[in-house]
Amino acid sequence: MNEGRAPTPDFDASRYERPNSKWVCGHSREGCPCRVGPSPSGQCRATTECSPRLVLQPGETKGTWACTRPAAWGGPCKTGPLPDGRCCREVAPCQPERSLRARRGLVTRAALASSVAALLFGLSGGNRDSFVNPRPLSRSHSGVEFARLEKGHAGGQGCTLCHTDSATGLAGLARSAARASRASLRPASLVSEHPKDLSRMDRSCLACHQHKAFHQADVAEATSCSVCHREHQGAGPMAAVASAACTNCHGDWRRMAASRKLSEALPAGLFAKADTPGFVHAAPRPRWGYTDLITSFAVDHPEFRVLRDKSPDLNTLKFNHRLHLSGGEVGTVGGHPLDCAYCHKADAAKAYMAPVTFEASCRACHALNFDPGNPAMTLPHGNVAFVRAYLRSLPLQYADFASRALGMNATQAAGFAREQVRSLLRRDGSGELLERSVFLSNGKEGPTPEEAGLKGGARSQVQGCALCHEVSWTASEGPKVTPPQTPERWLTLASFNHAAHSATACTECHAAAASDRTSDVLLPSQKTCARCHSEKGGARDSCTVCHTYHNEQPAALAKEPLASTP
Amino acid sequence: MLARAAWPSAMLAAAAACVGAFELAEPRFPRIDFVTGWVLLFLALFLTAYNLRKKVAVLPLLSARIWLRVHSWVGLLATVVFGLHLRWQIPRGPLEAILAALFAAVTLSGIAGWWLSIAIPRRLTGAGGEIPYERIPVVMRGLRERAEALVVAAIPESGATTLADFYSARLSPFFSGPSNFASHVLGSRRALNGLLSEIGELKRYLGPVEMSSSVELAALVREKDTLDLHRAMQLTLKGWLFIHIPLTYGMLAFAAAHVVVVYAFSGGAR
Repeated sequence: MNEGRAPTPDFDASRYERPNSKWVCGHSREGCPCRVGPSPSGQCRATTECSPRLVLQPGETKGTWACTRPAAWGGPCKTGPLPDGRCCREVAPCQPERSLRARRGLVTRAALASSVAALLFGLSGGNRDSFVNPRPLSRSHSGVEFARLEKGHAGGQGCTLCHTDSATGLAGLARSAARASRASLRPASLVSEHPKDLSRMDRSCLACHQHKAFHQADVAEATSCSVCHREHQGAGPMAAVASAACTNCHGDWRRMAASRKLSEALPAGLFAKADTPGFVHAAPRPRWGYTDLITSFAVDHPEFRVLRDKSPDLNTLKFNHRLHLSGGEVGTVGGHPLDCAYCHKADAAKAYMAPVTFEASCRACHALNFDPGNPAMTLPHGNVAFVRAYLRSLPLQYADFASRALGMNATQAAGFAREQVRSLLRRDGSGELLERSVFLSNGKEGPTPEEAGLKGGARSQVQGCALCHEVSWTASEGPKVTPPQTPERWLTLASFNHAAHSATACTECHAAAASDRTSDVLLPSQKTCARCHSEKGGARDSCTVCHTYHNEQPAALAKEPLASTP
Repeated sequence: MLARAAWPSAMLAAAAACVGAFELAEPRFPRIDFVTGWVLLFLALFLTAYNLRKKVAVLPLLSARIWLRVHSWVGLLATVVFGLHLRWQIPRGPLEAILAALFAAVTLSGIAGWWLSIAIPRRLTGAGGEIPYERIPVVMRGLRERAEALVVAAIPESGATTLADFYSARLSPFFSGPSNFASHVLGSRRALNGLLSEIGELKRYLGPVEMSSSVELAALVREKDTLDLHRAMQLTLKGWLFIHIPLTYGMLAFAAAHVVVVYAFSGGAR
């Protein structure tokens, strides 16, 4: 078994070493430590190898000195004590050395002292801001421009602009930490799903970002700015708000239940949405608020409400997308088929579509001509009174047309005008019938002109206002056209950017080619959006792609001071 | 076999539980970083307590062997918690970077020490000649005295000083104190073989008496070499603690500062 191994050296195993002693005999290195060893304070205590003992035999008065050297150290020496009772073997003094363990303790204390010194250096004075900064600030809160703003706002306090305790010295830091550990960072809050509060740091945020504290009146618990907006994540733009910041509440049934309760109890006026530019589709807020549980857009985001509620487009304008996009005779302009972009053009910001105007999109086909013999004679659009005034001044309009467009002199123009008006009256019977024909004819129904022997149910040759508009006629007020109201925004709680979707064909999202009624809402469904805006689709599906957290606080809500917790 | 696999299995299970719990909790608990931080600090203090346990050996707090095992595996578990706390990213702030570097250094030195505490005893057992570290100088002195006595005794008997001269020139420094530390740490036998080879070469010049003494002298050289091996290995085994323990206390100091700074600066923040 022991083949090849060295034998255990011969040594006295009975001698007890003290590895925990701080000092060892200086002679240990040479292998001959003294028996007594150094004092606990490291002083050499070497004297002699033993303390002789006086041995008195019975009847003996003088006695003899006996060596007391222990057996472990060689036993009594041969020489024995000196006659005067002193040991004959003096031990040479040494310079005690620290034991290995003591040296390790020394190194440990030195390392600890160095660490504390480094910390004191880093945490004191001008070094602290850079020493404790976990990561660079975003460019929103750093750089020359921010420094200028910060100087004007807070007198150039650096980190204290947000961290109000950072300038209070080491003791102040400790006190601040202790306070925080008892308040906003108390142990229970660390394992809470909703530990946020509006605290002093939020006050710092709101000092510059005013009116950003409000989300909705039915928020059950306030949320700290830093829950969503994470600073110190590195230079560059501020980190995008993660969806988890939203679903932290909107995916929590308890919070949503609390909000639902509040929403039902609070007056509806508190939830009025701040003005959205343009004419928007007015969808009433659900009584329980927007408290559906949502954990991800693709997974459980509810269908857009206008589609879910099957809200029709209440616009009174009569428009048939299918007819215009079919590519037949109707759907061409100058021989080219109509497409979406012919009417729908992006606004200046390229985010939304600009309102469709008659002049830009319709007049090319719907010229509002009432006299086939003079195609250039067209009615004005957009104002009933203007149309009526135009019709009632036809002699003047024809004379003006004759002089401008046909180059006639005044006498010729007057004669031309009389002839044309006479012709129209022959066709329509009277001025009132002409006016009724212009306003009420829709190309299929309406007053019938008497031109060309068309009698009874024959179709009007005039595509009047009623072709596209809802027109009524009363004896007292005459014609009345209901102004069309085409919503520019359908999803008023979300934003959209058409320019960002320019790579996608319109018809991939909007089923316009299949729509023949104005009441059809041609919004894409949530599922259509989620085809791309999902983990699978690859496009961003963060809540902030469409939604904004911050809302204007209704005046009816009292401005409550922020809770001031450390 | 089953018992040997129990600790790694338990550690792997605990690490998986930590990672799983973190993944589940992270979306729900905004202050999960505080939790992982406190867990990490608790683990660090627990691991440090092993050193205190050694100092108060009289207390009936399980055996040192169990403590060492727990210390080792919990230390590895702490590295997982450390990664979770840092979200597997390298910190960039000076305070946090130093703290992370200290933690990494403590961990690496601990792993190195763990490996040494397994490898060195095996090597020493293989070499034989077990002896407590504190006794090595005494035994070394005894060997030197025996070698010198052997050489001196051979002079009158053989009437020659060949062996004595060789001893003075080549073996006296070897016997006078610890030798060949680096060779022993690196596992090299070149120094020993060199000396033995020189003794072998010397034999052609020795008479019968000195020849007999040279054989004994070679045995003493081997014995001294084993002693040097023990000293080098035991010193290495004790020496890595000169890195591990001081770094641990430095890390704890930085960790305490980190806690204070985080609490002072995060009041009200996430």
